Amino acid sequence: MKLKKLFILLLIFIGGASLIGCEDSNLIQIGILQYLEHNALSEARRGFIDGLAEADFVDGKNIKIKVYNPETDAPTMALQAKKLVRSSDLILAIATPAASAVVNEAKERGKNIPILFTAVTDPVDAKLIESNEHPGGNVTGTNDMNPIPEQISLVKELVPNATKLGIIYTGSEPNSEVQAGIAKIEAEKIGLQVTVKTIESINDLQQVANQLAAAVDVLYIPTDNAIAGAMGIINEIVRQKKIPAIVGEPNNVDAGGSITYGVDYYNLGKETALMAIKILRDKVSPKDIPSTGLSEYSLVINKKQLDLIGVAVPQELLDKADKIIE
Amino acid sequence: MEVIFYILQDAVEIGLIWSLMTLGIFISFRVLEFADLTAEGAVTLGSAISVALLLNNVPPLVATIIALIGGFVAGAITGLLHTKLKIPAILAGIISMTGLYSINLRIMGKASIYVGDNSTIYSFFQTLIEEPFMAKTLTTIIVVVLIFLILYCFFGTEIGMSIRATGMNQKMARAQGINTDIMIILGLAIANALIALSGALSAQSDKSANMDIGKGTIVIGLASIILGEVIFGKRTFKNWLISVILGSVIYQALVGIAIALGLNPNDLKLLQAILIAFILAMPLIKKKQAKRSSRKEVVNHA
Repeated sequence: MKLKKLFILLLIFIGGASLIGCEDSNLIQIGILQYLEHNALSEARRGFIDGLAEADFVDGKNIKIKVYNPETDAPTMALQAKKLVRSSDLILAIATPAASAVVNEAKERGKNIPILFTAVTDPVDAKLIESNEHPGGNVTGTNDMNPIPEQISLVKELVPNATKLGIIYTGSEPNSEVQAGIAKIEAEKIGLQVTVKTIESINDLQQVANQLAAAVDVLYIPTDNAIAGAMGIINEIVRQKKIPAIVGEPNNVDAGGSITYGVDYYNLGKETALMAIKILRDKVSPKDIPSTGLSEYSLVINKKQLDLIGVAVPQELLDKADKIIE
Repeated sequence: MEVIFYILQDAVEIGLIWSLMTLGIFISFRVLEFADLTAEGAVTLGSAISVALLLNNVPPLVATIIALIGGFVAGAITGLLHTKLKIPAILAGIISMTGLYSINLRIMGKASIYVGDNSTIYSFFQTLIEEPFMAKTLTTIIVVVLIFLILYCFFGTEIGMSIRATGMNQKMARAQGINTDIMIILGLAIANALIALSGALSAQSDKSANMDIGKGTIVIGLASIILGEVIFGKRTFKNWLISVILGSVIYQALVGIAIALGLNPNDLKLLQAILIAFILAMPLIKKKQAKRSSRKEVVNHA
């Protein structure tokens, strides 16, 4: 008895699903798979949709945008990737796991739809594309790698007579390690003497950072999950030792860092939309569109803190800053 | 009609992979009556081990079996924490799960790793069969049937019966001369071995492993079990095992329908919660209805 009712319920569900599932085939179907609800990722999505609209690809008019979000749930993401690969003319995958799911699914089904990714730090390492210049398959997109050279160049702009740079990160975070390595090379290129220190956890951050700060002119902290949660400690050290701290991403400036160039995810999404437009309007194949990062980064300055420690911010930096904390 | 076909096809493909995890949850939560939270770490462990080994050119079958052994050890540790150190069940699971986080990160070296074009356990049939769905699902079906047969036979042996007895009534089991400590350790080890196996298959199917894969598995597992029980029953142990496997497929079908209905993606979690609450309440609703109908019968007879 109960069983029958349940099945009837199921049938009604499926019936409804098939009704709504019917898609208007005149419109270009654009599928978006966003790994989870997260400020940066949602900004990228907004930027992509707005970017399309600016080129007159408007949702409901000539394109139909479908957004899926598995909230990191693995089986749900697999289901959504399948559905998108089956029914889309172009897919945008936001964040690496989503990109990996979509690319893998399309490859397995032998589907040749163009796939774009955004907010992926290292698409080559994630095996999404063969190289940034020549993506290879039907996949290309934008990465959100920090502009480390630009960030390091801030050292001389802020403290012209600086000679020593201290880099600090959590030893167990491979992502931070990679960035610290690049930062060291970049700093040595402009003639800085670099000291690198690692911490095990935020418990030894205060000690290590204090020692380091006493021996250098400027601190550099890459994006680092552990330290990001303890920016208050860095803020204290900056104020005590009176040396600025360049951080890996804009959020960490708000939380106690001094200054940085960062990735604006809205602009990143817009840049990805330009690729979509090339594919949809100019019929360029994704394999001929190099995968890039942003060409222009946003500058965030914690002027309040820098004033307090007596570092004068050059007017030209203030002029081009996207955000100044007074 | 096409939509329905695809919903079912996807549900079979994904539901069967996760049915192994559901069987693991079934053994710890249902057979042993042990609320084991190791599961969330064990899924990730299985996927981490298998992908890390594949990247080092270990044959897929060997990588998958080592992942299974990894889960076995993790479950055994939870069992040891509970039985030998007298740590409450939930805490023992939390301790293992917490420890596994670091271990998984160590195994992978970073938050996510990708198989790329290295061969996986699915490659064998994928080179033989052209149709993508069958090519993939055949491997899963073979594994699930094999595991089903092993479990069915095992829980019929003296040791298997002892595990079931331990779960039903620990004091009584001990009175019968069963070493309940060993049975709990063994039961949890088997449960987490299956859960890790499920993680290994899922990772090879998705060609990637990441730290988030274990999130929410217990909820999915429990919902699948209850869904299976309500629809397909639990008259005999064999029937019960089959119900659990099919329950996982039905659960994924329901998620598939929710997706096809175009529900706001952010509401999907709430829908899952409502679905699970509804399913959990099913036995009670059933009982009440049975009472009402029997009362009606009495009235009719009068």
